[in-house]
Amino acid sequence: MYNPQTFFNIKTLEVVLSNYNWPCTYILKEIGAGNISLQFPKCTIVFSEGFESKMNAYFLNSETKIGDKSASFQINDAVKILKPIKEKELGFKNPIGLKRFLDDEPSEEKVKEGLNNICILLQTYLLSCILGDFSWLDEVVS
Amino acid sequence: MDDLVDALGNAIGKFSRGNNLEIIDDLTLHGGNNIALSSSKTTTVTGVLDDVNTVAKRGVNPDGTFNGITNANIENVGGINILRSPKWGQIKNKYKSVNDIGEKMYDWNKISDEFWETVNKPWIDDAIARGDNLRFVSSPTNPKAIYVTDDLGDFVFDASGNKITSIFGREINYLKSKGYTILNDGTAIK
Repeated sequence: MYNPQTFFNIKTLEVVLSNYNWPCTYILKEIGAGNISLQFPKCTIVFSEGFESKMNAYFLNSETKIGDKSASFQINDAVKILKPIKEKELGFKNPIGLKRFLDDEPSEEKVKEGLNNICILLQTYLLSCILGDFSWLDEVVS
Repeated sequence: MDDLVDALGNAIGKFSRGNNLEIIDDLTLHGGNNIALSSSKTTTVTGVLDDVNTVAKRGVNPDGTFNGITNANIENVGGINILRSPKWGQIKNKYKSVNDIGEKMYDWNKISDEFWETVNKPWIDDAIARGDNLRFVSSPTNPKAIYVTDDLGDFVFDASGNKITSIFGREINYLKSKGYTILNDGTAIK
């Protein structure tokens, strides 16, 4: 069975996260199946290495309150909803450094670039979520 | 019932051949993290690559060997059949170019067509021919699953400005054309 090598680990995430300023303290925890949780006081984000080193990040269903049976809400899904709102805010600055198409082959570099994309999106659009505000999800869930 | 653990000893699942695979994870898949299995059939699991990858991880022992819970591209009575192929990346690379300002460009229609015809359609045809049970671990109504997106999760458009149906989207359309009804719980019936 084709089972590509994986490259994501807690050290890599620690290094990438340290390049950004976060609004509160956090801890990292290896939680199984290669996934790592980034735990802020009021928000947890789970990082997962997908197929061929594509990095994904999700919110916990218990924190978004979308129900145990619903598929986890991804960071990209949240960006889709909050982007139009954030871009109307006074002083909004477009994110820089995002990479739209990463390498095809799995690699540590691809993991780092994927993590950087996620961090930039979190910093630009989702800081309120990190502080525990998921009120914008109420309309989506209903 | 077999308890599944990862290399660090964390519990990642419970497996009973012909009965059930429970995925223990903080992530929840479409249809939930229990995959019902049949003692007399293969259960073919499909979805977007990363969701299927969550299932695939349960088929690998802590030492990297395979435990047979998830087999790739073959019958697996009592267990799971998934599609695993290095060809997606290879075909993407084949139809990649770089524009004047150094951005990567892909011919997504050609990539999708070639992967579908040479890899995915034969795989799903085999599953249909065997009468496999089907389980979708991505939502067949989520636009991000049924259309091609880039690494930021934004839709990719063709030269005419249309979204491009993803491989998973093609599977859904193909199964419907073969008489399957997709259910909200992540299964399909014919």
